[in-house]
Amino acid sequence: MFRRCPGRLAAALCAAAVGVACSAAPAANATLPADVRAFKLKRDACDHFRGEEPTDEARAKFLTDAMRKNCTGTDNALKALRRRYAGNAAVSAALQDYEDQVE
Amino acid sequence: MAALQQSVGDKGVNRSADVRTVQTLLNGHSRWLMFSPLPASGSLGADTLAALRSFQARSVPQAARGLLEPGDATWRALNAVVPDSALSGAAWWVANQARYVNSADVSALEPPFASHVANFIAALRKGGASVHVSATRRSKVRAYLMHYCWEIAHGRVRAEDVPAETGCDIVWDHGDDAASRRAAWQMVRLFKIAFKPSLKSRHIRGLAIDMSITWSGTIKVRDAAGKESSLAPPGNDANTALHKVGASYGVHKLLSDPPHWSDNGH
Repeated sequence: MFRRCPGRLAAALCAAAVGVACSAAPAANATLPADVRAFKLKRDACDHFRGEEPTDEARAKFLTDAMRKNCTGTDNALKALRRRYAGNAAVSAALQDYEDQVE
Repeated sequence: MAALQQSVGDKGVNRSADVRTVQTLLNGHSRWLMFSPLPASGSLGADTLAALRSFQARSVPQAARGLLEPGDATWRALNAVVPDSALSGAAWWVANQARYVNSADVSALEPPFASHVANFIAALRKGGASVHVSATRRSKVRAYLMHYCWEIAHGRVRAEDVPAETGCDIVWDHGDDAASRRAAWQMVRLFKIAFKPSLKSRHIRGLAIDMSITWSGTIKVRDAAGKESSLAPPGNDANTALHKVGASYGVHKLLSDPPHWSDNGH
């Protein structure tokens, strides 16, 4: 899926990330491929919400919804990106600290 | 029960075979006592003596420190199985949860972020806003428990390989993988975990706060430089003027999470 349309997938991932402006990626990310940037945006949001603990039912629902939206599919996406850009040192470095499995 | 012929420890007889037996038994308790497994060398070194003293301090505090005799209280405790109350599972969490609570106190945050937050909240309240803090520093042990019960339950980490966490004496290893995973699943369900909990939250480091900020009408709030800003509703979600005031104090908004502020916006 990534091989066929990385640009479209990147846009979809970007739009799916909760409340983060897609144009606000840090300068260090600007040279990364669009699909990698989109992945980082989504998984970074996922990682944030995985570090939160609910204090009431409403917060619990919000966090669960946010994790479903931002975490789902990122394990496979990370695996695919690492495989596709195995020879790209910049991408490998950008992805190396992400956890293999969060789902 | 293993056999011990003579005393082992400080001023003990320390027969090689006896020392080896004690080292092997101590290693069975290494996880909850949080020491590295001892080589079963039969030679009494500083590490073995320290492990023995640690075991006595936790299990038989009435016993003389650093020495055990055949049949004494230390020897009996050393041969005892890990008590059920130390084993992971829903019952463990119910019994121990009071030890690992998250904080909603601003003073629990890490300096200087704590004073940055306190100053920001004071300015908001002085301007007429109502501030409700729901979370500040998160218990590191609590995050550890949630993270590893998930990992064990899903078979990604074996119970015996879970690293020890300072201040937490849970025993993840029930003696067989299936029992360890069942107990871990009990905790996953109790915590209502849907995705693997992170160990890297800024709340754990005391660098994030969750709070709701509300007011009615337009209020005036001073930033860290003393400059007054007019703030119109709404509160957290899209109020860039509010976010700028927070940033002037070193308290930065994460846009994707309505109540979340931190030292760097993450």
